[in-house]
Amino acid sequence: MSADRDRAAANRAAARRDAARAAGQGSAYPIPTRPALDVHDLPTVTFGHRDVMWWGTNGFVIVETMTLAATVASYFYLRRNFDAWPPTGTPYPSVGIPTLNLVLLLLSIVPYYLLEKAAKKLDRDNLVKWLWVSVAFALATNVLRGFEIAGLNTRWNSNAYGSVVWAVVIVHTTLLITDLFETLVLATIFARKREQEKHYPDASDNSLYSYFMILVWVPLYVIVYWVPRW
Amino acid sequence: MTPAEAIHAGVVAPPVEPEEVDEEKEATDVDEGSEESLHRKLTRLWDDRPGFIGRLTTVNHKTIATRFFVTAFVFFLLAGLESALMRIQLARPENAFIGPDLYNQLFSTHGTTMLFLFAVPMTEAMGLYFVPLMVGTRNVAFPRLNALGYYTYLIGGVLLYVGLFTNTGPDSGWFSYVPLSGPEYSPGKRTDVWAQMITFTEVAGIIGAIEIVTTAFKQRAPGMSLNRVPLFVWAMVVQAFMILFALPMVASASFMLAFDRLVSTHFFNQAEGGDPLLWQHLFWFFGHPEVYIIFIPALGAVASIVATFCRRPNFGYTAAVLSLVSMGFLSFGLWVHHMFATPIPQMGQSFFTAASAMITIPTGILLFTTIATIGAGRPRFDTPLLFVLGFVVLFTVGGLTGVMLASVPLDIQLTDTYFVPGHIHYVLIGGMVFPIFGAAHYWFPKVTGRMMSEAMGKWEFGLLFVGTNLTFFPFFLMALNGMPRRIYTYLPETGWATLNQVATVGAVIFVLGVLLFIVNVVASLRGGAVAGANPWGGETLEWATTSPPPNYNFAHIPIVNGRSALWSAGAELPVATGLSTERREVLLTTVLDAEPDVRHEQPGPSIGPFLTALAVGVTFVSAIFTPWGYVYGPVLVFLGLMVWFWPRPKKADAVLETIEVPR
Repeated sequence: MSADRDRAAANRAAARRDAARAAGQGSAYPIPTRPALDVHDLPTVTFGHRDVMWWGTNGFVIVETMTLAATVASYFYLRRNFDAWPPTGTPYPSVGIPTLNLVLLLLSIVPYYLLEKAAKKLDRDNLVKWLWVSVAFALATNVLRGFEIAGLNTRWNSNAYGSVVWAVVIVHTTLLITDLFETLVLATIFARKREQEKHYPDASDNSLYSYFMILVWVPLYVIVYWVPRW
Repeated sequence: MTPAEAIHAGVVAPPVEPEEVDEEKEATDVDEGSEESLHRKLTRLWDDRPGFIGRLTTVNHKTIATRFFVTAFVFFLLAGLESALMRIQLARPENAFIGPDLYNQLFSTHGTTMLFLFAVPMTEAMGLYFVPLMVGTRNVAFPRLNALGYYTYLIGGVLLYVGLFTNTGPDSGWFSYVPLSGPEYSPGKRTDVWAQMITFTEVAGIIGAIEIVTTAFKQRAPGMSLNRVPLFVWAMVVQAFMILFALPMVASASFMLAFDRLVSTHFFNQAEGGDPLLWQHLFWFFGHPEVYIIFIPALGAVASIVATFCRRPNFGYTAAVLSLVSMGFLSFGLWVHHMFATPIPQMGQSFFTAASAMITIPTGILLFTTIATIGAGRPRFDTPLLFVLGFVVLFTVGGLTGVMLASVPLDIQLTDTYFVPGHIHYVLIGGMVFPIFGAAHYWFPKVTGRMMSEAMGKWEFGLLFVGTNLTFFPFFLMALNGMPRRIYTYLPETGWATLNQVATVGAVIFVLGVLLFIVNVVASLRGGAVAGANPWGGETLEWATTSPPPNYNFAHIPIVNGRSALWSAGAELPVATGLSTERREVLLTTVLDAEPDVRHEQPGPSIGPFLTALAVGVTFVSAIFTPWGYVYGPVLVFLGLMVWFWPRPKKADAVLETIEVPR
């Protein structure tokens, strides 16, 4: 009973406060407060895990890792249904251009790393320079990926082997294309001097994503091009 | 001792004198003369744009979460309507009310809707609304991304129902087993609608998960170290991580299914070396965690309700947190127990039986901590707590029948009988729907500023509790009498009629309970008692602000000096000052100890997320008909993203002065 009375009293108090606010004289807090800490001198932009963008990027990295894991698991699961892998009559995937592309991808870690360093130093000129170099690398690897797919020597609708090989390569290619567009947009923003302070950590986290995209390709490359040869 | 350390030690530093404001510095909350002018200024700063365009561009987490609540509830009603039609059809043998084709679409759409369009979005929306309030911040971490999540979810849901109303509803069950759902046995577009709907809702679910993880880890109020995070927030974080690991699996699987149907890939086609069981593995690798994805946030809501209505902190906080986390892990090791009726090696069967039994340990710990909190507290049996008690009873029945199903020999007998629907409904209604109804009564005053009627609430509880048991307990008996699931009718000689009639009567009672809830909501919105900031005397920070909360949530960021933020605050709530009143700033704190770290500016309203969602919609909907959708769709998505990300010109000088250059 007394709880009900308390609540009724609280309701009346709240109603009075709402009326007071409607009349333009309330307070921004419904309960008494006292200032105990001033945060105004804190920085407004930081890098790495102190910034929210790092967390968002890593969230998407988990999601994409799991998507690739699903295709890789399917690859080895379906392989059990075949006596020969690739199935008899299907040639091995060509390995020349893919290897060249892998080397190119690994080399592109250098400009991504340098642009990350420039971003962290707020060094605009170097940042723009390395962003464009990275875009050039990304363009090259995307084009080479097209030839790579043409050299898989199977089609998605030939048999389950073809389907799952295409799945692994295509899923990774979506990451490759995403990376190209992200880097391109950042390069454009900085080159046209439209950047705001928050774009520096964005650029540095873009490199984080690129490292993931590049390094995750190493095992996938081995699976697609070398596992059938063993 | 730094201020942050002082807060930690429970000794809060003395108030800081407001500094002299030099002209170059931006204004902050301490510069305002009165609280009232601060309120006006912050309201203007965090306001949506005016008019209809304001509704499409809003990035307010409360507005977006409320849309999730309403939309998910509408889907709950639609799915409920489908089950009502099915119960009418089954009420007597050889009924001609609904034919087999429509019946297939109804049960498939019912299950799909309840799991993908109601349960996950509803629980996640709870997190999107209350996690920022409970951790004492002003918005979720990525406000625009949050808006994108809602619009993609909405498009996916509408797609499913456009399908159903144009006789293109999915008809191969909510888990769409191949080869039944493959191109050979399901021609037409029904399964394609299902597969694309999955993609939409998975995108939305993943977005919500990233929001919740980042908000809970980076935007907690100063002093809210990890060991002071409310159990509800812990539960939402565990759910979010599970979503990140589980949902990509089903999204991959649904893509493979769609491609098998659209461009003749052979992932699941036995004739070309594909494997139908691959579908089951991928689907249940998601599907089993899915149950816990739904159930764990409900446990979080239960923890909040129990602490408030028993007027004591949750019993066994550390054990409860560890149990939540271990449930998250263990639930990924159980998926094969959905596949005991397929050729699984015996070693695998034993392993997954043991794993299924093992997860009852953390689940049991959580149930016992709940009971201990009730037993050791001074419980006040208002409607939310009644729903919690209902949850304990119903979920125990669901859990025990689950242990039965985890035993291989029983499972092989019970697979595809009514036992399985009986089990899943006890688990999901007990473990999710009841806590959600409790949470709705508990948080309604916070969201709307009005109390719901207690009298009606108690009737709702009674009707729903009786309705649930009367509907679903007969399912177990039907199963023991041999009734298979997913049949649209049966012969009189089977003797299943009486039990089915009882179940149908139960469904009517359940529907009455839901209708009464709607009446209660509508009546309370109009004439409910004004709630005030903290009508129940709760301990967590959402009760520290007004009901409904202002668009900026907290005028000053609250400071936490104990596990029960409000109960340990003393007469005055300590607050942090110094956030800008000119830019939309939130306070970032360190991950473990929540020490103040960064004043982070958030983006404001934008039409970008809406346009991007439309582009995503065009991509996946057109991909039902042509693979070229995946070619021109992403181009549109890219354009949407450009609108979203292209920076507006800004005062160029003084931009870099507050960046901290890392060494």
